[in-house]
Amino acid sequence: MTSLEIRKIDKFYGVHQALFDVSLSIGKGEFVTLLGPSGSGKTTLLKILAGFETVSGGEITLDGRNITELKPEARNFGLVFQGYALFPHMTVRENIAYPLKVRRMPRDAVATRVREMLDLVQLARFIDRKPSELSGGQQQRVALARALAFRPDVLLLDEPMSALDKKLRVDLQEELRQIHQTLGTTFINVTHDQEEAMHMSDRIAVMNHGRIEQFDTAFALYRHPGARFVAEFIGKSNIFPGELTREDGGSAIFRAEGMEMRLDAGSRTPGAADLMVRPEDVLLGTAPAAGRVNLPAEVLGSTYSGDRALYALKLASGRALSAYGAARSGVHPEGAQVFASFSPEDATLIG
Amino acid sequence: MSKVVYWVSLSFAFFFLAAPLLIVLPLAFNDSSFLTYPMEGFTFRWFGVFFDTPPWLSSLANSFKVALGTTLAALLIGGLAAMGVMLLGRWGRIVMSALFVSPLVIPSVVLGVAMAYAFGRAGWGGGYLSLVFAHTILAAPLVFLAVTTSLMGLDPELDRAAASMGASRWRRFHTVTLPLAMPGFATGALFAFITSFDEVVVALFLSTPQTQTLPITLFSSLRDRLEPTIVVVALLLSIVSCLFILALNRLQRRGAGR
Amino acid sequence: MPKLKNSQIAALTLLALPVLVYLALYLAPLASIGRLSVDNGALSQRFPALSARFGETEAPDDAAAAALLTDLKAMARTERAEAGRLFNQELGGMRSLIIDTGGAATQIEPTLSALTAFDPRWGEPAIWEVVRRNVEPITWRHFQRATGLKPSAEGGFEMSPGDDVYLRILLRTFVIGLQVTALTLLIGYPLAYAAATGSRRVQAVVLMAVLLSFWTSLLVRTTAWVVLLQTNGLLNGLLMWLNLIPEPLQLIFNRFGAVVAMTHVLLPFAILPMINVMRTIPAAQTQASRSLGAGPVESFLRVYFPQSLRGVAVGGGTVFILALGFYVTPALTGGPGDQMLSYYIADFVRRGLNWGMAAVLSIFLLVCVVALLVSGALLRRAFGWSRSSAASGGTG
Ligand SMILES: Nc1ncnc2c1ncn2[C@@H]1O[C@H](COP(=O)(O)OP(=O)(O)OP(=O)(O)O)[C@@H](O)[C@H]1O
Ligand SMILES: [Mg+2]
Repeated sequence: MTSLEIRKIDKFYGVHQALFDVSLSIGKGEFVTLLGPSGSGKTTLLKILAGFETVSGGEITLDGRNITELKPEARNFGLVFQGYALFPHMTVRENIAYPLKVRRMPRDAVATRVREMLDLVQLARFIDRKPSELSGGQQQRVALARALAFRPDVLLLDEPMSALDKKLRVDLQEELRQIHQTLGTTFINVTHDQEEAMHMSDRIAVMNHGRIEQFDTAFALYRHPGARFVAEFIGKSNIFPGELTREDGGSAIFRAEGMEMRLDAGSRTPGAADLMVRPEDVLLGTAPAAGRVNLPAEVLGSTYSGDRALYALKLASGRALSAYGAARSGVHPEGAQVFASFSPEDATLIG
Repeated sequence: MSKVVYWVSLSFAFFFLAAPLLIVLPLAFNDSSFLTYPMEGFTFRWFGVFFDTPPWLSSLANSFKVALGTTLAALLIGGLAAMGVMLLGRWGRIVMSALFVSPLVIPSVVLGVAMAYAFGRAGWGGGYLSLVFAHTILAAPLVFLAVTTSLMGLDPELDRAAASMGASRWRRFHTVTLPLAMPGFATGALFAFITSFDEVVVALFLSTPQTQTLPITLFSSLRDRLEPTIVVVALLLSIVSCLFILALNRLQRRGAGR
Repeated sequence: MPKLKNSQIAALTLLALPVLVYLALYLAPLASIGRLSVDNGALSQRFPALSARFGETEAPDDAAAAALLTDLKAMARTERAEAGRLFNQELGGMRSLIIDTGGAATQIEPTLSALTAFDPRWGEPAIWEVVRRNVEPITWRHFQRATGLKPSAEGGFEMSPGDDVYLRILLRTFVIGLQVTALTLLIGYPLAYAAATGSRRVQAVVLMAVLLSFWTSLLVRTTAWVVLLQTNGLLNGLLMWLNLIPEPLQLIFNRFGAVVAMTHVLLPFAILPMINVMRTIPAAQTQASRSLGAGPVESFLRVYFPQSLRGVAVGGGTVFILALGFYVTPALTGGPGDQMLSYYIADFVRRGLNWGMAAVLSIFLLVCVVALLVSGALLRRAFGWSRSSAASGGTG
């Protein structure tokens, strides 16, 4: 059930191309996050969705209706700005009532809706304050209430948490998630904080250099990255460049420097390939483990964080490897010779 | 050594800047018709003279009339111009801003000659109308600058936020942009008032004895004869300037506090 | 017609009234100065027959004499007086010639010889030359008088000695402008420096004084100087009380008075741009220079001063341009030999009602100001200086 369809969007600023052939199908009521490094085009895409930027090519449809050329005020999209953009000359009440008055809603309906929205964001006490008399987190929630007050078809959020401190951010993430479930509105959120993206979103669109690298659930992005960039950008990863060959029986063999293993490669064609192993799937032992891929390694150092330790290792081939190790019985000392091992099921082919 | 040079030159410069008015203005209360120290006694006599001798009081009233008219007209013209220019593209903005600000750099005498001739031919004569017209041209640039400054300081996101909530261009303008630019209009109004109230040169060309403003009366009596009433007028004009600065300060502080 | 965007329509709607008002009350009057400077309607309309005659041939013959007499006869007495006055602006003695001839026009026969018999001056080609030049609808006599250049017999231009009055006045205007600019910069620099780098208290006090001065009517400040400088005024009184001088000095109605008062009036216009620029120079730079071993004076001269020059240039330029157009202050504190161009412009209008000369001198002044502004802008671009935000208030 697709509601918002983004098809083959290109965007040029002069000769500089900020978006390349961007396509996304977003379902009704979905919580989607655009995630990517700085300058990857997230804000540009969001502004195009909101109607503040024109497209150079492609189209956007909402429930089958083409809205590409629609003016911002005619789109019925809510927008939460990075700097909140609360009107400084209006109280919280007036700010939230603004879109309702624009829509000529009757006076008592406006009052009811304002209360309702303030209850939703738990700010009923602050109804008659000016924005300058609120904290950053409170302003953020007023901006959210204002953008939701008119029941928009889609809510766009441009790095809504970036100005808040860590603790507040986590609280707000939870709150936002709940509001989303209560209202069932489609949310499109922009962030470059991957933890935030993974906590809140149904699906995440990873952007890089103006392209969508992968659009999938957090689990799929983490376990089965479609591209090397995704594997490296989301979480920590060890990547081994190597070669995939097929035997007559159809089973695939992956070979890289110092390792060789049989694995399930689906329908991949043989040739150069990258293998990814997450550090938490690597075990360290003093002897080779049976049924796993074993790699002799030297401990270069470790960072201990209570529940576990992150090891930096050097393989015989000279490559670096990182691995999480249980740290209940102390850590492997620097310079120790160990065997790092992982199971072929935990390894994923990318690229 | 360098410190001494600094402090000596600073003290001299400060004295030169501040002393003349501080020395001369108290003479308004001097109980003598000579404008010299030491003062012979304290009196309000000269204020009485100011209020009783004909041209002074009526020219004060004229000044207020003209300045008020000018303030209103300049607010309208300069305000509209500033808002219109904000909507233009880069080049349109540069050209039109140059036009609207240009009266500031034209020597007043030239403006005086031009307006005296043109207004005379148009039959507006030396009435209030021609004074208000002329002062409007002198004051509108200041309103224009003040309003433009406050409009440029606005966060463009606010307008976008209003648009995302469905507000039309006109609605955004009068519910968001205009209220936030109010301090600019208020500052512009103050500038316009004081510009007109203190203006001498153009008024010299345009006013008649009936519409003579206070600075004109002061100017002609300065050429005529030095008497303590002149210092009284200078004191009154300075007080108006001080009130003006206070009001301006107030406005700026309110603007910053938000 | 090209399709207009919404914002363009809105801009046009908003700008319509201001542009109309500027056109009617500002641009049209300014343009009328250009017309006034060459306009000869007052004379050419009074001599229709003569100007028609000169349209055919320029020779002063019987037909010209007849046309002249016809025109003079058609005029009322006051009109002849006015025409005489206008001719007199070009050549002394013309007034009486016109009025006398006009008074007797009915008795004189319409021939050149009869006219010459009535007054021998009509036999001089120079007189006819003046008449001919001044009955055309367009005249250059105001420009000629202002520049002192007259078309010579050989077709070029010549300047007779003593005719460069207005060029001298222009020169004097520039000299006074430069004197005042130099003084404002000299006195203003320490104040700006203190307002930008002094302790909190010093900054506040100096800035307050500058702003008060800036917003106090220039007439009030000039008044203060008139009171201070008069012959039995405060300054002379002080000097005599201190036994420094035996009798009062002439401090006002001369160059000293004019320059001192103008310097005081224009001082804030020099200081404010300097403060703006000096505030952008980080204090750490001077400290860095000190830590690198330069003394305070050397640090100032090599690090601070060069960076503050931008403000000095902007302030100096502003003061100079404003000074060129000054009227009130020199009129009240200067002597006859210290009046600037503006004074003569005003004088031509207020006393002589000679709009033509006032217009030509206004054009001189405008051209100077515009040339200075343009060269200022070019300089700024050449040095890569950004626009200064110093808003200049009313001018005097
Ligand atoms: N108005 C503009 N004119 C020209 N180039 C622009 C403009 N806006 C953005 N760009 C360019 O487009 C690219 C994408 O910018 P965008 O703002 O979308 O990045 P972003 O992903 O939001 O980054 P960040 O996380 O830093 O906010 C950048 O290279 C940027 O320089
Ligand atoms: Mg961004």
